[in-house]
Amino acid sequence: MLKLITLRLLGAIPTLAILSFFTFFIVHLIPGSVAQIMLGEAASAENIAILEAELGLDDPLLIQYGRWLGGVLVGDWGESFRYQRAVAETMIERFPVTLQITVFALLLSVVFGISIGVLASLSPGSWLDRLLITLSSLGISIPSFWLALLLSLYFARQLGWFPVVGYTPPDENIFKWLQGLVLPAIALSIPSSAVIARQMRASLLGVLQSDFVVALRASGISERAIILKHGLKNALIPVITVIGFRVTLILDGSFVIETVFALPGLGSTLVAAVLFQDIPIIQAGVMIAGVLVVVTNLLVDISYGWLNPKVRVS
Amino acid sequence: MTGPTINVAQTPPAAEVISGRGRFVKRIIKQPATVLALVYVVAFVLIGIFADVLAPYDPMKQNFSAVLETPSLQYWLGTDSLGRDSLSRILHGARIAFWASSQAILIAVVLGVPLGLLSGYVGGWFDRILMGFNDILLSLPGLMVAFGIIAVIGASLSNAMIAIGIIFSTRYLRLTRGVVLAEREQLYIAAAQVTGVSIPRLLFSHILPNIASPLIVQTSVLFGAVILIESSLSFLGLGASVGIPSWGGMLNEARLDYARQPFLALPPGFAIMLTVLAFNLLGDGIQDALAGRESVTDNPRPPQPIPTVSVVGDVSPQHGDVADEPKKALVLQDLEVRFPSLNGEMTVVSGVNLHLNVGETVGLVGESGCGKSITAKALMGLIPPPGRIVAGSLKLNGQELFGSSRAQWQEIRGSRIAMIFQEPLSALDPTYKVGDQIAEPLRQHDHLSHKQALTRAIELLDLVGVPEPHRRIHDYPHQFSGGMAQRVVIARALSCEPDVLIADEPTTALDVTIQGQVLDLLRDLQAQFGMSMLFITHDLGVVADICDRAMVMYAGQIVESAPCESLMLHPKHPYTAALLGAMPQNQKRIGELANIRGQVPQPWNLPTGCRFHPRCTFAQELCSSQSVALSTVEVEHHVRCLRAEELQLELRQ
Repeated sequence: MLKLITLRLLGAIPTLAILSFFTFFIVHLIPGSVAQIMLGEAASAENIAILEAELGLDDPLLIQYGRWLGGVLVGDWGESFRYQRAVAETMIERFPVTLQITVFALLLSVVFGISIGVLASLSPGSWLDRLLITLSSLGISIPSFWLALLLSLYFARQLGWFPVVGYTPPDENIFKWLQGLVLPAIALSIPSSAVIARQMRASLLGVLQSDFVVALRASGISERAIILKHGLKNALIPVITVIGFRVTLILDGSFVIETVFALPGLGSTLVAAVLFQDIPIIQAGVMIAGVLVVVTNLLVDISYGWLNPKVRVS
Repeated sequence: MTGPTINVAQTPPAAEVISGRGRFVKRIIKQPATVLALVYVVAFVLIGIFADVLAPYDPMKQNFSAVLETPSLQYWLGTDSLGRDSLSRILHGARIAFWASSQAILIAVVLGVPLGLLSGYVGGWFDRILMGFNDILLSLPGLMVAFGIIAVIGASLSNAMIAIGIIFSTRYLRLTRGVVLAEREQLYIAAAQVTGVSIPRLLFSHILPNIASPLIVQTSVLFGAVILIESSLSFLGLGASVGIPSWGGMLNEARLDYARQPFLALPPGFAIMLTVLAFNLLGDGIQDALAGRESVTDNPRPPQPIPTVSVVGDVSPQHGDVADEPKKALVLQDLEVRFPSLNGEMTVVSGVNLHLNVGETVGLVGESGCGKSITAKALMGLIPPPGRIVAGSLKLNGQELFGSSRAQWQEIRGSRIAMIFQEPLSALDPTYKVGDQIAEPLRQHDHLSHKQALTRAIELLDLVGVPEPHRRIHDYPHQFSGGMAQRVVIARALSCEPDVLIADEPTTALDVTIQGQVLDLLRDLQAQFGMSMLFITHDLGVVADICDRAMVMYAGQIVESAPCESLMLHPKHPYTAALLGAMPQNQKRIGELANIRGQVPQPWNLPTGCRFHPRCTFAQELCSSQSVALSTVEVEHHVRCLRAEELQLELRQ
């Protein structure tokens, strides 16, 4: 298993290298000059030239890339054009909130999705199955930020069970922290739950048709054990792939939902950065997303190894 | 894929194309959800085009005497904080959603499809590098990529759509390349036969028709996804500019005002959800119709417990039974199994009687599709639904089993009747260690602890001749060869020392050298455990090797039943004689009857009279009109043939 992890991590290096190059290059794709953006419209040509020299924008591209990458690796992610503040500092402050929502929503999606999928496949074609399929079609199509709006309207504003807006750090009050994350995570998890449920249902129904399930029945193994022990483990293998795909989509959703609940995550920071062409922030965002994708793929691979002994041995 | 590879250069006849399309349309019409989705999509497009005419008010016109109103006759969906009519804004929002999404999809197609064609066609390094980039872009969060692109080119609705177009072009690239690669594979083979045809031309004339349908499905689903992203971006203020009636923007305004007028959030949200839903359902529906499926929920059902059956006919003694008969372990009488079909229920197995004496091995022989396996499954209570046992009685040591509850069957299976299968590797769960799989019935039936069960599993593996059993219990099925895996399956079947073992072609899938070993093993184990065995096979050689008695099945009936030697040397039924003649070792001796002409009739198309008569060399007029009963010709020798007494079917020695 350790060998597998090492191999996968090494395999991710070229991906991250290519991604970092493109990320670095964003700065040079902007029409006009970075120095112009930093100094504003009124800046004189002379000042712009001085700043450009200071930033090393005259150097050959590869040297600039090397310098930038070296900085990124040691945690120097540059300075925000807009706030004249270290990007790393902003990210350390903002990213954990987004990550918490994403992870919380992912856990809910996995729990909801797998349970609903198993429930639907227990009696295929029944009214319950049809109801769950219909609900999952709706769930896939629902914009999660709209759902968040409706949930907050009813459960936060009307009933007062949850805070309408805002975030409490976990070290301040762990209960309030959790309370503040419930609605965003639920809203964010619905579309993913629906997709996972559909995949789970199809996959489990497929496994329950297989020869070894007939053989288990012929051994008198209880239907419960067949579904929960054998069916689930085999059926999860393709579902894991889908769960992996959902991580980036949940992250995307989190950027939007943070706005609804005024949560101090990456979402609002990135939106502001887009509007002000605050490129260093965007670059940091892309790189963090890239690392998250690599970590997700690694976790997916490890889960495969755990579920499928054929992968583990070879 | 394409049709036969040989006539690649020809187009299919026009009639075929039309009937193909007709079928497709028929399938679509059979799916009410798809039809509804199609109607919605058409309405959406029309509203998008004619929003100006349809909207009751100017979507930008403010009316400060009517702000934040609830729905009324004047304002069907109420008004917003500036007194603008929500309905008019929703209709105009449809226009923005339609045009913006079309723009994004167009960009995605224009970028993705040619690159995919090129990548698939050129192949090699170009393909690998391009796909590498494509996969990186595909794996990143789409919104994050959109942020990056919009940051560079500036925030506006058109730019947002360019960003989305770039992101979704990765899907088209991947799809197109896949189709090209699949076609290339086929065409190169075909091109070797059709000389003088240029491969690029052949390739492109074949790809365009083949790519059309997956492209339509993809576009339908992506249209929904684009609308979701467009509304997200507009909600964040990175898409349609403030004030413009886009659905996402309306939701953002609703967010600011919903404390005062919660209804504002409903219309745009529903508009987005229903539109996305319609495109998703349409995509699914088209895909199902293309694949020839009728609906998404049309999945096969897993087996259900057997319903209670009425036992018809009284339990009369078997033909040729005598007073001091051997003790019977298993008695099956008058089994009838039916499966539903398009023309009502069809009877797959009828009037089957069989019994197994204690310690006896009985062969059940016949070609594929004659009902052997269904009979075996009936003995285990495992007829796959929607099939069902409509009549019959099954007694295990005198206890009636048909009509047992699911829980009762679970107790019987594996402990009193066990089964082994044709494909040992697919009879084992690939994700669990074999030791655990052998231990499982022991824990279920004999309530052994995990440790005790594993100890027993080691003993059993040793018994069935798996070397180093204490080590091998920790291996997974894929680490076993076919022969060894069959030994594992046998060990599991014997774990609870059953009275009856049903062996469903257990040696068919194995190498010839291994077959003999497994047969020897089964013979030894049977003697050791004193169990009865029903051995299902199509190989009369195996029957001669291991069975005491044999029964020959044809088209769902038993046609001959006799002690092995009698059956082999003096077959009474022409079908048995034909099977014997088809054995390779007998072919040399007789030189004729090498194969049996025709095929086993299908259950819904059984011939009248004797079911074998259309294939029988000795058939007479009477054979096709009079149904034939099983009659006794000698002690323990029964045959279902009108001419059994007169025919001399002995094989020349």
